[in-house]
Amino acid sequence: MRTRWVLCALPLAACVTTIDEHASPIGEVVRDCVVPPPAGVVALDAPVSLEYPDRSLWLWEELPGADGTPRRGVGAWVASLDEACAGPRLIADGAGAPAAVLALTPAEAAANASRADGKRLALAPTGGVVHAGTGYLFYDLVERGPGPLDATTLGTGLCALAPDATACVRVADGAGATLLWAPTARVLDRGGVVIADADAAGGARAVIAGCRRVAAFDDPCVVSGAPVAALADPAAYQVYSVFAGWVDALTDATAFADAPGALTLAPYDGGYLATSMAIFDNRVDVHRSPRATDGFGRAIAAFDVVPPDAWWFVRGGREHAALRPTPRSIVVSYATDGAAAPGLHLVAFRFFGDFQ
Amino acid sequence: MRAAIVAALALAVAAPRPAVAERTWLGPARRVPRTWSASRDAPTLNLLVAPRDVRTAGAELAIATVRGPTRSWRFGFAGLLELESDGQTTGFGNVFPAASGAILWRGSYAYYAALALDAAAARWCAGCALELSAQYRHESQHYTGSNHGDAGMDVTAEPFVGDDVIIDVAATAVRGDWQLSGRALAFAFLPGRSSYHGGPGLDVHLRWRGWGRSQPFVSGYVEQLWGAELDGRRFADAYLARAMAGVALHSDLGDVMIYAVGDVGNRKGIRGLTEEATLGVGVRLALGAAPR
Repeated sequence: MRTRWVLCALPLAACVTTIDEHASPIGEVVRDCVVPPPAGVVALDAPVSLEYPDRSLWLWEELPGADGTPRRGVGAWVASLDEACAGPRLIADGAGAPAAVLALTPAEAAANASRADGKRLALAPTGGVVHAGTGYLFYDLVERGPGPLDATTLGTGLCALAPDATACVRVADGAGATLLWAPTARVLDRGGVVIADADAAGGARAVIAGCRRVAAFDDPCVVSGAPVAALADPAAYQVYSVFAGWVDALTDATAFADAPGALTLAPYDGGYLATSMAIFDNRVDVHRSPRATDGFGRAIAAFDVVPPDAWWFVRGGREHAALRPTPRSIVVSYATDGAAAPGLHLVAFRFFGDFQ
Repeated sequence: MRAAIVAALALAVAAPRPAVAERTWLGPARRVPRTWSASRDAPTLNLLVAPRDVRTAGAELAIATVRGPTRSWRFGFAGLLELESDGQTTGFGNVFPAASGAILWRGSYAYYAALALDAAAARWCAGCALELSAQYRHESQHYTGSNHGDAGMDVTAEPFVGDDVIIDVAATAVRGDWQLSGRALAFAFLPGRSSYHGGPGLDVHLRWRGWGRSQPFVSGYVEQLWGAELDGRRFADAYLARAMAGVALHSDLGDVMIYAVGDVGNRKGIRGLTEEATLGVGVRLALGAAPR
């Protein structure tokens, strides 16, 4: 009788109320500054960059000038996190005016001047590699306009920036054309690294990442490679397949990531790190691999970025290996119009340990 | 950590041997059993019906017992296998609870040594017990993937409990029809093998024996595990406060415990990052206390 009473007193309801979902981060943001624009510039957009051993060269297709004149093809040397957060200075010409590191040819400029359809040619730097002090910068030749979202990529070219030079010299083929690749021939739009490779002429190979849209929300990324000694030769470029090694057909390349946003390949801790901007999640992810060509694992969340307000997505997200405050850290730039902290952010993120 | 291991070894080997010892094989695990505990780690046969279907097959037994005139030693093994539904209980099927979600597994096994200070406890009161113990435990967490081709569960960010040493001191006091038992625990995890590095725990159990076979009880348990870094991830502290109240149907072997349970804190096992509060009911088969 007593037992029955106790049994009846047991509550029949059961419930679960979630209080919180915790995280186990792989690191922490140790610095996040909004980079002030240089003199004569209204605002900074997210740069692409060439990563030198001791400094980073930031490059922009265009920055809005304070006088209403756009600054096209400009760049800035950044030697440290502190320097960047204090405000970069644009590379200047002999007269002190901002210099175009990447510039249209006189013929292209003349073509722009003569057009009346609202369209113009523009050079969009996409990243590259540095070897022996020379920067090799890939760029897309884009026809923009008449609307702000109208853009047609005409092809990809390469320019070489000699040590201490202020102008990147565009490479031309034997026929004098600076467009070295048609848009569907190679994707070289995410920059890369130079690796030692005994099979490559000169013993060094440039490995360049590229992502191309094949369908909505589907942007497979592959790596292309060429011996550094033959970077100016479009025919020397191949793509990497995990099954066959370096192959010619782009469709035979192995996708190592799917990144509609920025993606940067860089050395890290004896291996390589692909840092990507997850634009739909407003988050920076990292992928590790022991090799630059393949083996990148799944995306691992690193840190959140300030989500945009009016913009659809944050811009940029390149990683600047030259600015890392410690070997086990990354430095990422991105631009946002989020009301919490609009502008160009430079974020230093320290890894706790040997994350996988 | 080093201190915990030293303490465990000292407990196991440094105490003097009883002058006149009676040795027996395979017996009840401890003078102060853990089977009434509200801890999720209690090695019992347990069926938590709600809010989730949690089936635990666990046991703790003394492989050898050495009884002296003033104290007794027990050396044994504890094992536990726990299957937990990821989702909540939705009903009954095949007599057992049915629940949604993947099946989450948690398994642990431990070697332990327990020293009961029988004479000292007897001086305190008739039926009282006092016991010190140490165990070395391994735990791992798993899940059963879909049988229908669904994607797997990414658990790389979840905490992991690996190997630890647990030191505890437990006591039982009897006053009239009331029995009060308690246990204070200290966890020390081996470095680099768990998401935690240590923490304390406290276990209490109060029951009224005035009705004879049917004994109302309440059990409470709290633990705090201090987070550590594992495989490059930094884990936050985890806690769990859990209470059971019900009736124990007592026998010479132990109890059938029918109870309501409530808890707040981190989930156990592979969902350890989730902090939640739950209410539910369950039933347990619990082995009782070892005789002196």
